[in-house]
Amino acid sequence: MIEIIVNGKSMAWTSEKNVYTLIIDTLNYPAESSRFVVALNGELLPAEQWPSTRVNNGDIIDVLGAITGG
Amino acid sequence: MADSDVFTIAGEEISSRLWLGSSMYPSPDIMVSAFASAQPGFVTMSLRRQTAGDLANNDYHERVNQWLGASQSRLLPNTAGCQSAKEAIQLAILARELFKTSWIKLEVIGDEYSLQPNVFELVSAARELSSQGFHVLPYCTDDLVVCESLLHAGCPAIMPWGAPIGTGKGIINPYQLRTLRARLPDTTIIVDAGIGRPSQAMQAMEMGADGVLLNTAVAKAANPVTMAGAFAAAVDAGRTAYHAGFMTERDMASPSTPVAGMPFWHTAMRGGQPHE
Repeated sequence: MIEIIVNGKSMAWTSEKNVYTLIIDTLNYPAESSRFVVALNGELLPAEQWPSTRVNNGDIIDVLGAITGG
Repeated sequence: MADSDVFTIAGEEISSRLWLGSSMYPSPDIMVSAFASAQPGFVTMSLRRQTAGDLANNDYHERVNQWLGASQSRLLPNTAGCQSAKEAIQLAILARELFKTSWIKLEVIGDEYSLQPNVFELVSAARELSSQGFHVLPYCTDDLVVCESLLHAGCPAIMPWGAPIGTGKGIINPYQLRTLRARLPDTTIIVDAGIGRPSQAMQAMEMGADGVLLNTAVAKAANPVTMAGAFAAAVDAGRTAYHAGFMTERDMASPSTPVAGMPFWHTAMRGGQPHE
């Protein structure tokens, strides 16, 4: 069982995933989009590294997009 | 202002001395119309966790991007909400990747009630981000030594608050802003936060600020588009006045109209009674 936290919420599954699979296939973020970025355990994970980065038990993933701000 | 009053930061020309936030507008249409009215040099945005659904419905981001593509305005991401240097550095790096810019409005909040910056963490984050090639524009207090530390850390400008964020109180410590201008004559100073009225923005510019950054005063106006234009006019007028040079204030009245040649002089001065 792999348990992680995505955007502050727990997720769990049994099979192995990489970050690309998680973000695009499981969570349905748009592929080839420049409108969001991914942080793995608080550090930027560039999009080109998503396919080669395995999601490990206990990982904390944040998916961030733009919002208005002052 | 004269065409020769070119405004540059970190070697890059900034199109306007009025910068606007993108938050709290009644609608994306009104936000963009306000930008068109003000023609801001920078437009600020931030970044937060978003689901796929959030992204699909995020019309503000799309509209800001369209505006930026068709104008001379630049995007200025912020690190709003961060409470430590580590958080701010992480968010700034993510912002650079998302927005494709090295400009960052660095915010590290130290007090939830006043939203006063934590200047110790701020200087630490500014030093690290500057070393990583960011153009760090720090939201800071108006403390001279803090501002000097931020400059030494590599910031190409400082952004002292006029008053706490969102209060609209204006320049609550004019003495300190005058001190910054006098002691840091070659430093770019942007008054950030607390500006509520165009007259307050104009006051900041008359005092020698190089620009102002505001959000709530426009977004929460009854008519944001008209108010954006009013702020643009005020900033231009304040800048022009600063360069024009002010008269010296005095305590005693001094007639504007020459007294020489005044007919009926004594009669006029004594309410019709002849003067001895």
